[in-house]
Amino acid sequence: MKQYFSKNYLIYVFIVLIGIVFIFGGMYSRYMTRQIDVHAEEQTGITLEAFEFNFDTTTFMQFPYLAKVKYGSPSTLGYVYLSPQFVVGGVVPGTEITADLLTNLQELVDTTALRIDTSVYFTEFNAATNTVTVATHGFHDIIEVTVTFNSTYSNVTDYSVSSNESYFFEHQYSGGPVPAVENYYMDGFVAGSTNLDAVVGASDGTSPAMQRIVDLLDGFQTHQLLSALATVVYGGVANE
Amino acid sequence: MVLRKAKGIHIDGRKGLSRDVPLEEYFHPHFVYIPLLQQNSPLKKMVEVGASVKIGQVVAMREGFGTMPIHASISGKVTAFKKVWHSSGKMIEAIEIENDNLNLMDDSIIPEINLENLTKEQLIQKMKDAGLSGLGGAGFPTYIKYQAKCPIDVVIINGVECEPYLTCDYMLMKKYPEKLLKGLSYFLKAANAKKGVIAFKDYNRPIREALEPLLSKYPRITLQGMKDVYPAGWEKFVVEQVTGKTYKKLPSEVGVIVDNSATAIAFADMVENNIPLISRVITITGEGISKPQNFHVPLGTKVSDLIEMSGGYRPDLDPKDSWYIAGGPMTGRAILIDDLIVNDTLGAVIVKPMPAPTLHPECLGCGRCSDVCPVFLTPTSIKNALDRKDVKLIKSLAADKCIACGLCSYVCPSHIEITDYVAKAKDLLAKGA
Amino acid sequence: MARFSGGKAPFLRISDLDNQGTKTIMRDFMIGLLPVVLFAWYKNGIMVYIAGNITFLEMLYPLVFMFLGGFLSVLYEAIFFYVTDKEARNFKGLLAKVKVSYGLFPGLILALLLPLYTPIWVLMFGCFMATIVGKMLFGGFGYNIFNPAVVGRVAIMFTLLAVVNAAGGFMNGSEVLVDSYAGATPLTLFSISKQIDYQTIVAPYGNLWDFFIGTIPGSLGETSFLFCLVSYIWLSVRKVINWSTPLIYVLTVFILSWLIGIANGDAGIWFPLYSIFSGGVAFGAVFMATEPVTTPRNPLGKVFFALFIGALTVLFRFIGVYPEGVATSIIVMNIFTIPLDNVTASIRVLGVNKRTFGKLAFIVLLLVAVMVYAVLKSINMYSLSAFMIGGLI
Repeated sequence: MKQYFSKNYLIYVFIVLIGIVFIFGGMYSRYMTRQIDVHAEEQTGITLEAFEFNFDTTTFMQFPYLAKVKYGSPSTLGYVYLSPQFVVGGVVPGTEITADLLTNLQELVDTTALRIDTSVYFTEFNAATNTVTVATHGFHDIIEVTVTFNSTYSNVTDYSVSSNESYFFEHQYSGGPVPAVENYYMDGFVAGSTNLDAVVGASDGTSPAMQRIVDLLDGFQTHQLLSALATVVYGGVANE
Repeated sequence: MVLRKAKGIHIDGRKGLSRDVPLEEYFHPHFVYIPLLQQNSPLKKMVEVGASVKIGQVVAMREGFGTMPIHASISGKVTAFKKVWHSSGKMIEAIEIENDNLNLMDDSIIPEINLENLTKEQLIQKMKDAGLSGLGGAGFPTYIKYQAKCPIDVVIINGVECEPYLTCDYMLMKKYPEKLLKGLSYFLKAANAKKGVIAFKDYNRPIREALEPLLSKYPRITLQGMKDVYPAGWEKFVVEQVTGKTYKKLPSEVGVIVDNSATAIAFADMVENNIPLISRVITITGEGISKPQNFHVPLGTKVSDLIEMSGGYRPDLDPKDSWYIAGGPMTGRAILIDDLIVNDTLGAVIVKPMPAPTLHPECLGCGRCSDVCPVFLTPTSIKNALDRKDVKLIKSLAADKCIACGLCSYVCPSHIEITDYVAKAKDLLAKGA
Repeated sequence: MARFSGGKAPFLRISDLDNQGTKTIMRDFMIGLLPVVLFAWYKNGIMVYIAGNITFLEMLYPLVFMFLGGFLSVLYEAIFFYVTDKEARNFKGLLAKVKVSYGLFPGLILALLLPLYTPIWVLMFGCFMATIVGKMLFGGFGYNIFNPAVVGRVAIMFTLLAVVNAAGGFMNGSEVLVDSYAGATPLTLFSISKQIDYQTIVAPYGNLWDFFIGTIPGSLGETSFLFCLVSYIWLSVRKVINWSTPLIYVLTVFILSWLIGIANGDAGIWFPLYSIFSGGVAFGAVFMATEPVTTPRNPLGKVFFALFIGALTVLFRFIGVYPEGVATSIIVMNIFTIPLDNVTASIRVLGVNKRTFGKLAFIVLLLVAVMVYAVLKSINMYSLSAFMIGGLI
């Protein structure tokens, strides 16, 4: 055994060497790449992590989006309000960011490659009746749905499709008259299922549009339910 | 870039080993061996064993192309016909003559009375009768050159001696400048030429100093210094440098004849005293010889006598790891047994230790061989074509133009035997054509 | 009577002397690479560290990267010899083989061609492609057809480019902060903006002096014309490379770029200068176009090789879609090295006569056709206005 090893030790030397280079090199490269973000943060003091929907009912009409950021040392998580035009509006309570850092953040928001789906949005909110209106563009026209929740947001008490589109414009759709597709999705949402198959013949525009509306409503509803349980909730996720 | 005039490169001459020792004359070897081979053609014996011969007596005959008599270089008795080692690397038959130390001259060796009125034809006949062959290493029958049909303008004496280690021509020119000039003037007459030029390396000032004072007597002869490069002594190079013209096969195409300086000096003796070709100067040199020097000896002398007179091999010389080279280091031949005889083509014997063998890499394609080739070949392409036995490609690469100067192997950083490959390609071309 | 050794003429050789031979050539070549290596470390490591933009460990990375490139190549070669060659199974035999195979260079030159933030495992892949595929599988030292470093680089560019860019790409710590070119190397900027305007393609990086010295974004070794020039002088003096090849190549690129500039309306000399200072032309000219194994051997062949590479670089850079013309043109010409060598050897030795004139004419016409095509096709491809086309930032 020892003889075999002493005769063939070179191959083991090679394997070890390659292993060392791979591990050491890999670690070094990762360090370098991580440092890029560290420096970017050092330079601007703030890093933009993601965009999120703002579902807080008191602020979401004015600031429908949130910027999830990391700032300070040690790195702290924070949220910043963004207007429909993605202009920085102010910090969410609990986040402490100075004004010049907010200017840096604006620059990051303007130049970032990150995106959020802005094709579906809230148009109205009635705090007294827990009624919210969501709109998006369908195959040909704007589709608007108004939903009323109960006081604890655990159920939908009523919904109406206030603006819909003519099925003539949906390619090869031959189902019932509109708002059949819209009603089909809303009924599903009320029943608790949010992942419905597209309707045949209305799969190009109306179905995806309704899916977006349902997803947004679902996020909205979930956020309201969670904020009843936790004290500080942003973007649908409890603060870490 | 593309160069059309051949350039040489400077290589280390190592002539200092043998240049500063005076030329020693050794005309009483015990035996001489007249080889019965000249330029690959066998000679006809003209004497029997037991015959007495005198210096200058005809002992063999060259027949066919370049027919001319070959003479005994010492006086004595023909004791045997023996096989001896020859500078061609083969064992050949030779006439062994034992020296009687009486130095008896043949009756034909008398001073020439009709010196002034010798005609061109008579001079050429003298060349033939004397058995004069080129002493520069090729051994070509000189009289044939002067029988060329084309008119000759210039006769150039090639005293360049570009091979390293060799100093035989240098010593001769330095010692007998008057004979050199006389020999050249006879050549001029034999060729009906108007001008004579003596070409030698510029840094050899002693030669210039020896010749210049005598030039006033020879108005048609000029001196030309050449740069210290190799292969400056190549015939085509000399002609290009002196006349500016280039030729395809023979210098006579452009009206030039080139002869070696030792040949010219020997011719002077032939014309004035009818002494045939019986002696030459040979350089015994190399890092393996104790006291390298030049010897003026009769043809057929054993080289081992001369090596002994040079102090023998150095004590640290190991023959198994050394070379015994017949000729110059660039174009010579390695002889396996140190038992050579001096003939008309042997200008030097070099004994030197071999360099230690090391592992060399493959050809890296640096192209230095192409850069230095005097005939503008690309040896690497020729080698690749040879590996594939592509005769057509070898032909278009003109491997037949190779003059075997050895410069490509000299400069190769990877120690590749590229000269040998080109020689093999030449053979392949000759067979395949 | 003693028995001597046999041998072949000539018995005097340069390679038998000390300080001559292939070992010396390679040693001088290593020394010639030093100016470029040191400058690459200085510009991407020390300068950025002094500006306070990176940590000490990051400063060492360029040096480590380049060292690893060379080391990995040698290691791969050693493994290859170990696996394929019976004599190389022990340490001494292996060492002897590796010493004459000169494996350091493909890896080191490859490392110099890559962007700074290339992950090490990408480098390992690249070195593998360069050394094993590009060199050893062809037969080892002296037998490869393609320049190994370029093979490795092309392999990375065609497969892992996204990975390299995601890891950080070309910009070092100081360059990533600059807004004026916002992460684009000079040639990328040029190929996007497609303008021959000083303000657009030169000014964001400084002035032409910056291009000359090399303080512009780019791969590790490619940016500095000045230090490649220093290497060129050293290598030419030591006769490691042929001095005419890089000169002809750079001049060809210079003149053709000038003609393209003129054809597009701008006859200023800044444009050809910009063309030869950027894109690694100097590095390619000194270290890759003169690579002895993969380029023609005879002087005439080298001249034509340089001319063709120059024309092809201009063609690929200005007309083609690759921002990098040098590497592709070298790979293309490597294919033609052997036939070009044979043809030019024939022309050189036989002179220009009936037989060879046809071959010479063919090559020259081909060359001129490529050049003319490059210049003519470039007309109207580039504009002079200062407006950004397509929005760079």
